[in-house]
Amino acid sequence: MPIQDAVKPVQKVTTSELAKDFADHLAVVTWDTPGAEADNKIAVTLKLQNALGDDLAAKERIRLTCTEGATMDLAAAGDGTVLSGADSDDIIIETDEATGEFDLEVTFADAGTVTVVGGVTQGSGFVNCGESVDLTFAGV
Amino acid sequence: MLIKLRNISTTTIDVPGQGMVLRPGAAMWADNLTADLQAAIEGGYLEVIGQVGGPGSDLPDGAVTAAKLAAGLLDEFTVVSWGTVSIVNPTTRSVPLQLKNLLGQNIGAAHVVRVTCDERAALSVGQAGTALSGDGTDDLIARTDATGRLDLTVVCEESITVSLAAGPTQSSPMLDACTGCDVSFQP
Repeated sequence: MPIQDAVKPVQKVTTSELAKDFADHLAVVTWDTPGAEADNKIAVTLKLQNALGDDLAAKERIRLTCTEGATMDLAAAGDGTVLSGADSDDIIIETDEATGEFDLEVTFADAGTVTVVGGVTQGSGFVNCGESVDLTFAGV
Repeated sequence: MLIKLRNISTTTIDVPGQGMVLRPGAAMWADNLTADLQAAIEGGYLEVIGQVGGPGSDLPDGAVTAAKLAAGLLDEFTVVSWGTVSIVNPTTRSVPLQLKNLLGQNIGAAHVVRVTCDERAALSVGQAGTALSGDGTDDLIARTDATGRLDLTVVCEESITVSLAAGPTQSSPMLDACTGCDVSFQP
């Protein structure tokens, strides 16, 4: 092996090589499959994962905004906490520390698609909120 | 980087800079490729026969911790920490905010953060840092000084505990602001 090979970096680090403690610092917002519409409401669970794609049981603060005309709140008996903005299109939530989840309920009286987008806010950690969720309402 | 070297000369050699001798054909690990070792390789005494992991191979899963990140990368992960609250007078408190990396080491860089609190209190910047907007309000945007420190002054006329929350805003780095700070104005 010549010197020039030996002095190259050992390899490029990939996500799977991250230690769990480190990966847990890098949270990712994911969404479960939305439930069926009932009484102009659709429930959908926001779920945290770490950078390895494993479920992350952690309390994390996230701002959720959605299409104008729709409102958001915590589903009845759901996991998580609404910190501000309940029943509005701009809420700040906290995921449940034991599950890393927030059970969201979106209300929309019209027919159409409501898009819910997450983002970091005051008190957030490192959170990737690149994934949004589209909810289709029939408006009946 | 660990490099495995083998003595390819026909005699036992004093390995440069390693404080040991190596018999012909014997191998050893060196924790770096020093100028002396490189000279020995170029002189035909030592040959590089391996390195940890080997070029192009993978690390074991879970091997990379924050402690193994290079300093430049480590400081890309900025964490908000809070110092000790000081009582200035009955209605005024001082608390330093310090930016750290994932290892708890101070980050020597100026960054922009947003700090909010209960609307009954007001925030302003003390000696370290610069207010960019909202000075004297409950919603302050400020830049730390070059050592990553922001001295906050909190004023409140009521006997309450004021919770401070930091967060990212325009121009902020990637920021972990999970930890807040409670400032008591109770007698």
